Amino acid sequence: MKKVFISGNKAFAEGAIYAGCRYYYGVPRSINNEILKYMSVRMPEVNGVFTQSENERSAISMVLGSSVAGARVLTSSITDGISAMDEVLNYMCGLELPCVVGNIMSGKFGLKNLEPTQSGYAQAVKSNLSGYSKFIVLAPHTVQETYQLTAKAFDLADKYRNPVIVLMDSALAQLNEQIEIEENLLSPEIVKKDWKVGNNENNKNFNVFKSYHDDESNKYTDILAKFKLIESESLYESFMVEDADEIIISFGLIAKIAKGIVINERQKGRKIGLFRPISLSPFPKEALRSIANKVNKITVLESNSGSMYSDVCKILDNNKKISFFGESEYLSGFRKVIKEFEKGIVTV
Amino acid sequence: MTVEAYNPKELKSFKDIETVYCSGCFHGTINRLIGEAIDKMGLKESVIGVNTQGCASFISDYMNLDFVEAPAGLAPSVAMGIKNVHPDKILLTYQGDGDLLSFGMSDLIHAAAKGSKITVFLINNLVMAQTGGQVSPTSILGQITDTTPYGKSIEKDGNHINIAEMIARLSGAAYVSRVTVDIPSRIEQARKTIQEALSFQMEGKGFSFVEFLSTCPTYWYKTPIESRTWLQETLIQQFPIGLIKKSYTK
Ligand code: SF4
Repeated sequence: MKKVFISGNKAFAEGAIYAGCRYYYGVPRSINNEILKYMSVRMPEVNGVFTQSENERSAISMVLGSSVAGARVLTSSITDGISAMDEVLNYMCGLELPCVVGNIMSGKFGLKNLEPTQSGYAQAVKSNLSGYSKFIVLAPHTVQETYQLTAKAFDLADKYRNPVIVLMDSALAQLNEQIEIEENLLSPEIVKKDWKVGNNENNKNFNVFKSYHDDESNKYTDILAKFKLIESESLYESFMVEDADEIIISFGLIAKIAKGIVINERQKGRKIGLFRPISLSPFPKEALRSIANKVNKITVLESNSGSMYSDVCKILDNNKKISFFGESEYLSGFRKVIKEFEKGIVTV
Repeated sequence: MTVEAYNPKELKSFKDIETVYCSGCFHGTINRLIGEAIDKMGLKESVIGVNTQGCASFISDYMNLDFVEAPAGLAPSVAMGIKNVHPDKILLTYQGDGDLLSFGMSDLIHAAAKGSKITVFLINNLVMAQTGGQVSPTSILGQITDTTPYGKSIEKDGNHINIAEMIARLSGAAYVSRVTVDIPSRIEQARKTIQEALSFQMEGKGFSFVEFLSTCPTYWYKTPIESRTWLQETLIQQFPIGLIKKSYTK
């Protein structure tokens, strides 16, 4: 292990390179620019390929190509840019092609609107795709975790042959922290993929990927059956919840702020804890239910209009003790949140 | 001119089975020619195809080759992504005019400009066929389609695009040709053109592009014979056949 002082964006890139990813395709888009600049240097250093594409549709199509050829492949964009990739991502879910996509949540809409938000939750978790497609979604809350979860995302993508989204707050993407990274990189050929194209030297079977199949035996895995299996991969952190009678539920960088709130309030004797889903899809439902059963008050804190709040309400059967504090004007907004918590009042 | 005859039963890259194509459609002939060319060059184990949407998507059912279906217009980018991982393989895309020139113009132009080592086959039948015969960027003036019931007009729709000539102007494009398959001599020429385009890719000379002037009797509202006559008497003037560019500089 070695210590480096890098941003969330670079930790995302390094996590991918560690996991054996040698192909990155992307397009300049505000917060994403740093990843492009970094990968344009790093990919040639590790004998990989970096391509700046014309637009997000071309970038994700190249991702589809390298994925179907058996490689570990990465792309990223801001939430608006990911929207432009949706049609191809839907294909990748349908054709069961693994890849890792960084979704940097910034702004509400448009390119001049860059304030940090958590605008990408609904897009990543519910997805704009057809009702038959779904992503695995991981949301890191520190730079170190961004590195680790991006590497893990490749394992999950290959294991379940499904795209995985690493959902990053834009402030986390730009935040610099000292982290530990692996010195020896994993081999790009770490996973054997018999299903890939270009694998036909020694056998007569050709691999054909298409959106319809006359032949019943050739059908793709049912998405519901697949996501039932994926449920077992859910990840979460519970922070000071053992004796808590109230909890905050937060994800991503907001959960890091929430940890600060918990520590502050604990010093005053308030029995408060934090539940942090790390995988937003699959959501750690059982863990949330068992912790929620033991507390009297739950506050969902997120920087959007309540995307995770509605999921939490559903999981907990619309329990009345759940309140929501969402603030899309992040920094000034969260100063207000901290004050409210200090007063012991939570805005609903 | 001697015309080489191939027994379809002996072809390795092409399956000798019934196709879904309408009678008088050139897709079947072109599919088989691609199979013959690949067999002749001994490339069966090396070729990976990318097909797309529309009637052009059926090719993967008739070939013994790895094939990947791309979303509308995106086959060149998918092929480039595969080529990056398998630089030793031969990548071809098989796309109709609606797919390549309506949905995928940007991906096509950039693939050509970058000199990508892939081969794009355009099957130009002047209409978006599988979606029900709507106007396409190559429909000619006056052509009646599902969405130009009064005929394609210069004021409203503009004129057709001669994409092969446009592509040839890009320095990344190494080989550009337009062929058709209406008579035996031109069928023979088309097979040779396919071989030449693929060999340009193999030798790493750059982007190669072949436009096949094709037919769609169903949405031209013509019989197979009338379709072939219209192609010979009218369309070849608008889309001249023959070699457009061969360039050895990268
Ligand atoms: S609809 Fe047109 S292009 Fe499609 S198979 Fe029939 S004739 Fe050929």
